[in-house]
Amino acid sequence: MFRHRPCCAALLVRAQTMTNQNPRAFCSTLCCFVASLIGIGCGETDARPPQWAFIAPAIIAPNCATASCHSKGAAESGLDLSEPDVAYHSLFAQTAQFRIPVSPTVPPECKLDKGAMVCRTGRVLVVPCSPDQSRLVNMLRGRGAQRMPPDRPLPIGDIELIERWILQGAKQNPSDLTPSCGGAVAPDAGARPSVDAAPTVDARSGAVVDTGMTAVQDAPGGS
Amino acid sequence: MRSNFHRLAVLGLFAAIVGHAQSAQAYPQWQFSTGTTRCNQCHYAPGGGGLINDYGRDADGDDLSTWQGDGSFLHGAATLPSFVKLGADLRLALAAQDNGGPEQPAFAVFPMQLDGHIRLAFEAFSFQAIGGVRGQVRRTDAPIPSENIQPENSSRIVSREHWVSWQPEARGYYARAGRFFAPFGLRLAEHLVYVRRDLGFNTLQETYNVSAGYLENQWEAHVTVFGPDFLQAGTREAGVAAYGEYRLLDETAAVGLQTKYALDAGFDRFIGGAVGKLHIEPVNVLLMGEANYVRLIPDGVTAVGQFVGLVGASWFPPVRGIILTGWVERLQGDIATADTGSSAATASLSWFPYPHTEIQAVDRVQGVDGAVTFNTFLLQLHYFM
Repeated sequence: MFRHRPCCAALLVRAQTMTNQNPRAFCSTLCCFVASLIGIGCGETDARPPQWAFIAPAIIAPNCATASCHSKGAAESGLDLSEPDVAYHSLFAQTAQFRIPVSPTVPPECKLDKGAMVCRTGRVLVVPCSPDQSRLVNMLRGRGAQRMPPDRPLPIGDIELIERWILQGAKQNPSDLTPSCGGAVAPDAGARPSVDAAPTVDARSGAVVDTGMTAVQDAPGGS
Repeated sequence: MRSNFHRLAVLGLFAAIVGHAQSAQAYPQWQFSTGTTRCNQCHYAPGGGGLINDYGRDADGDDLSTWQGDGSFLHGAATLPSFVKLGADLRLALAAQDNGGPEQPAFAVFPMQLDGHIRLAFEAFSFQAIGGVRGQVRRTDAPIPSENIQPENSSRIVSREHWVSWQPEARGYYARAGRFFAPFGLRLAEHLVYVRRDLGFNTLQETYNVSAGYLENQWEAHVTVFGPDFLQAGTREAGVAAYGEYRLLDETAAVGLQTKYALDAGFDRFIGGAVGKLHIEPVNVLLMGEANYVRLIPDGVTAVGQFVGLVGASWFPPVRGIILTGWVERLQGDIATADTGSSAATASLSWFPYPHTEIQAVDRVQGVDGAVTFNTFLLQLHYFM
């Protein structure tokens, strides 16, 4: 019903035929602006940069870091996506901690603290160079995981831009040497979880939940 | 696994809905349709919204409810000193949604809002605050980021607004400072309108501001300088916003212009937009519209132009206390690129059966470019006093 087919391209061709001018000129900002009023975006080609510096403020923060979700204050599921640097860290390397009642056996990733067990989880939601194995993408597409954002999923153009960013290594800065795809689209098999292998244990019920978290053990001397 | 999916879906729906809840915005539908022209004829806040004044309470009791009653505080059961005004908002909500993901549709019944209002006035000066329990709080056993220094229980109580103001008369100059949203746009109360969120006015993400303006029946203007929410881990936006509205056609219509420039974490955002309202008295319909061009300027990369807007209409049938509203929204995430937007059509029925009470049903059909089309239904029981 609301699936908008881009028709600006057709307008461009028509304009070229009629005026024999550069159709790109026809698709001026004003044209696109007017077109957007009726739900059409101009241009089949996405010229937006597949860079974190664009994706974080233009797509992730406004759609995900709402006050009751992945804002700094709420940080649902331990994800703070409010600022580019913090959000990148959340998606790749951040550990989170949660408290559960004390049980007879203390898992290695947990420690006793003030009458409860504080457990740490590790989470990698993006597998560089492999969108299909990135939990972030699977959640955005509602593919084997809860669709995110649940109230207003992302348009396909935004999802594809994120996928292109992942395909290019999902770097925080384009000049970063790592992660590197090495010219091939291959998952980093290291410690990062695959989609199907994503764990883990729900803090409240103890049941296995598909959240993309993995239990981690404290490094010696770690907190 | 299915049950876990379902539980996450319900939690996600709950979080998403309350993410837009608690916003006790004004009802711009009442403007013109009830003979009022200014928002602050019924509200204490210069830009409208929040605690209603004595005029608003009288209107609630006499004119806006199906069955008339006492619209004053506690239905007149208690009398407060003249310099103190109190109020409260309580909402219970039922939400249903099917976004096409696993284990949909999801249903949730939850307390949406529990807010208290206080206003202390001393001649031209006043203090006003809203405090309440968040519709969504972080569970104490939920994972929190190791780097997040905010205590896990600090998000349970929140004050969305707290400000001091100077306003000698209801019409004329005013100034206020504190936490609130800058006057901007249509400020619809409906909780499933995303225009405000897309312009940086999302619920619970109020800024700290110094604002000044001028209010008159014929026109009003507001200028607000705002900064980050440094107390409640909220928005990082800082900048300036301005809104001006001019009434015409014998005060049955208004046109407004607005602009905002904000610096945020990783980007700047410029907004320029227009607002229009027209009350067609013979059929008692209020037409409303808002269109905004947004220039999003990320640090170090290409900027994009966006469109955020809505058009809608409210009909006030001959039965007092009922508003039927329909509107269409459009967000274009990048004007120059296809499949980067979303559209939505929403219908709402608001029934004010008795003073202080509202029952509202909202249904929203939403289409995301190239992705899914899905439905969200929200039923609210709202009691305010």
